[in-house]
Amino acid sequence: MAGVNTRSNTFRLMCPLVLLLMCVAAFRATPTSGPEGDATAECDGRGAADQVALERCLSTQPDNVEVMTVLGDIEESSGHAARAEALYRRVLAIDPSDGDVHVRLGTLLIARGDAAGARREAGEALRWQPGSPFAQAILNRAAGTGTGIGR
Amino acid sequence: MNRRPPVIVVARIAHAIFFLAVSAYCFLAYTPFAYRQFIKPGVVPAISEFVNLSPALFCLVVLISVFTLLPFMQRPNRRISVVAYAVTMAAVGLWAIVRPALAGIADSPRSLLIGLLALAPPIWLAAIDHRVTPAPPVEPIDERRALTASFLAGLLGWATYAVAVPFRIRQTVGIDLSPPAWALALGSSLVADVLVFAAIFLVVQIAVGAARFTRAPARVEYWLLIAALSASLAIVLYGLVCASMAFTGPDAAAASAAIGLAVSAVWAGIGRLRAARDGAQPLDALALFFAPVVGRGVQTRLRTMILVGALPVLAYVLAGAVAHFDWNFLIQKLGVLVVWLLAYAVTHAGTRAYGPRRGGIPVLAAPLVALGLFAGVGASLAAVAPRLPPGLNPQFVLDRFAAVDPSFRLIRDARTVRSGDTARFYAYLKAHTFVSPGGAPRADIDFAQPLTASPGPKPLIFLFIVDSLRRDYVSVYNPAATFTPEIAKLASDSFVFERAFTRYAGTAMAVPSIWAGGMLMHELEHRRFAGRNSLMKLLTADGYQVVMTIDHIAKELVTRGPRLTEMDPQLGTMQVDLCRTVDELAAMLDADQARRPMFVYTLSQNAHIANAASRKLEPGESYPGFFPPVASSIRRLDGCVGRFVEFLKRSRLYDRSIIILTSDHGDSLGEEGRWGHAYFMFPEVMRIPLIIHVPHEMRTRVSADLARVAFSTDITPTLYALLGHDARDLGSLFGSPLFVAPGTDLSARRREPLLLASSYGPVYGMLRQNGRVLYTADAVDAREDAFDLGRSGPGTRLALTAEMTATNRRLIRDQLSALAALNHVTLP
Repeated sequence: MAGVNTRSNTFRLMCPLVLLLMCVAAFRATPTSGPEGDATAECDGRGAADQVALERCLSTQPDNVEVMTVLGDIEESSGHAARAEALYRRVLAIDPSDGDVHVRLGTLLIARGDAAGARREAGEALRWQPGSPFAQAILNRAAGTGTGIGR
Repeated sequence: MNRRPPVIVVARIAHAIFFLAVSAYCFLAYTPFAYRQFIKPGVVPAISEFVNLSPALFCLVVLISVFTLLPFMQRPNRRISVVAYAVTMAAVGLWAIVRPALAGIADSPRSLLIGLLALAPPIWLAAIDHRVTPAPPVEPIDERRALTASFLAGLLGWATYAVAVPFRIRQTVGIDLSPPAWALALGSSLVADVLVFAAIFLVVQIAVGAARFTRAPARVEYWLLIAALSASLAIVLYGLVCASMAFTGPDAAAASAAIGLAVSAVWAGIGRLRAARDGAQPLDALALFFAPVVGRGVQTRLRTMILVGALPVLAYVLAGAVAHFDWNFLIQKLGVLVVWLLAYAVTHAGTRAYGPRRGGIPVLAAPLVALGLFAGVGASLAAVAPRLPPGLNPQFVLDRFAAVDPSFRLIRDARTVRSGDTARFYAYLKAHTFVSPGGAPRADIDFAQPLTASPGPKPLIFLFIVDSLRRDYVSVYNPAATFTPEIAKLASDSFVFERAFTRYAGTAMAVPSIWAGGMLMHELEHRRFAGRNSLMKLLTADGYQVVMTIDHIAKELVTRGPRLTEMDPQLGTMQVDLCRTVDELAAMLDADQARRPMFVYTLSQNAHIANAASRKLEPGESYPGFFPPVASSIRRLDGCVGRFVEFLKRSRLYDRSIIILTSDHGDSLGEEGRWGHAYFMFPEVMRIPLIIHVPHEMRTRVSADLARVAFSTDITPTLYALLGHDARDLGSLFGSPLFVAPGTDLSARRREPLLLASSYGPVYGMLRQNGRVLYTADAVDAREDAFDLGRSGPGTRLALTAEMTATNRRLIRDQLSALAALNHVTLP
């Protein structure tokens, strides 16, 4: 009888203990972050070395302004002015305060004869980068008073 | 024996509160972080007053307790324990009057010892109460009643906070959920609450099961519940309270266990006093456990309803009273635990009794159902989450809901569990935080070497740092902040840096980093700071007279001498007021007529929530969309800035002056329920205003990029450049000049990932894409978050991906390792 009582008491002790452990396990089942992944290559536009990699970055991070800027530079130096302009305009739609890109776009516009557009871009560039000689040079070229300073 | 008068219970509670407060103060003082950040600078005046009054309060509570024990002096077998208590406490009281123990304690082992000893009197008194008061008759726990009460308590606990959600939303910024999202959140919260109370019921059942092996199961059940209370308190204190104060290790465990023991002893003592009654019916062990709250039980249904109705009001008032001063929801979470305990007590007292031991194995079916429901809901949400629109993503919804429901926040934060890699990463962050000051001296920081006086006349330099001033409370950054017209006037003639950030989320590291011009090893003390004090080196080389307010942080950074004039020496850290400072400055400048070049520094506390929150508004003053007391404080400060600028203009000093207006960090003012700045890192804390006026002749010689990320750590190298020194590029962990020769390429920082840190805990961040993306890793709360800062406002949360997490963790590790290597520190 004593043995039956002991077994019964042990059962009465173990059942809620096991259930409590199950509750704790269920309660704590949420991981703090997603599955561990490899630190893949940076997409922050550090260099113009690999246009394919940059295009891939842009497809996964369509708002990455730095990648778009570097790609725009690559397109411009390859003679694809229209694609470069599209990329620069996309950058400015995301970040209108990027003075460097205003200068780049202004340079493109002045090259294709759009003085008014170039003046606008240079004005915006000077708003965010007071004292920028590159923006001033665009203004001078747009006014027909200067040959500009290389970027 | 007659029933004890309620006044004796009140006396016991007051006695316990006093000694627990003494103990808590001592443990806080023992913690270097809490001592340096809260106690030494007197951030909370009430704590200083408590210390001053503690000898008198000691005598008062002890006298009252002895008075309540006097009736037992007549009984010989109880007299000895009462006399021993009275004599010992009298001796301690005399000692406390002659040599107040609390007045001189600091972060030393003596504080820990006094804190532990302070817990002895309430334990002793509880033991005496158990000796002198006859034990009430106890019977085994009524399991069916306990089960019913547990589930009702779960419902009540959920409802207590759920009903307050519509009110709390109005006080919280950035919470916008659709009706289906609210339903999802409330349902998830209900299921979680029920599981919590099901688990509590299982603890009760374990006590029942263990007691069955003994000869006095009812008494054993009761004492096992008291032991469970003690253990739970110790775990909560260690895991929640101590962790948030950077108080860890065996000392913290001992302190937590001691407080747990003391509170449960007091609880048991008060329970005995309230339950004792001659000839009364037996109570079941759980009813006796709840006796401190409900005595021998609630007699009427009306009384039960009143208590049930009062609980949400109590919870709401409690949360609201501490919200502005809480330490990342710590006090609110502790409040939730108190409310849950009260809910369980009230529902148990209001539930009908079935009789002792009525239950058996079938009562375990209910917790099993609760567990199944919880697991099922969790699995269902995880399965459908990818198909749900972003506004109904469970993680997104539940994170938002946690901001307005403190009980759900407690549950959510308790649920976090870490993978091996995550645990290692957080251990790495902790190892790089509050680094011991010993070992090799930290590396000097030199922006120019050799550093000799630059030629030419020197401008006056005013560095006005307003503690906790938010960027969006300044009109030049946020047109809706119409209460800073004078700062706007100054800004119209200055450079306004659009993307300015602090490197550190709290004053303790932010201010030294400004003086150093870069990031520093994360430590509580900055020993031998002179080698890293780049700003002071510049001022010394160029012959500046330094005029500054010296708070408890600046005291460590500068050495008093003939070249340093202290303003307002009698003021405490929290009393530095920019209005008072500029008046004193104006008088000083009038007298001096700027014969010597002068550098002025002040860290004013006008906007700090500890000061601003208590500011009374004038009739008719309103600031829609802003926290009115802070906005009002800033309006006053703005007037003083304007007054000082007018003075400079009248004195013909304005165009000979560099004026820098900034803050050491921002502040949370209700975003997702957050208030103030603790160890956490969020966009509203990291963004700062940075407005720099330079003399006209300097303006024409420089260019700047106002939309590139700028840091307060750039101020020092900027001054180097403005004063004609070539500031070296020390790398991305250090500042760089904000003004450069025209044509200088400033674009590198737009592409660099930039490290940020908390001042008060192992919380680090990565600022990327020219300040458009902020990633944070919080090793205290075991959370990682990402924010899109592209638009103004509190920042938009981004969904974390595995790649984002892995990349940012690697960047944080790399930069922390680089910082340690620069400072010749070897860490795990």
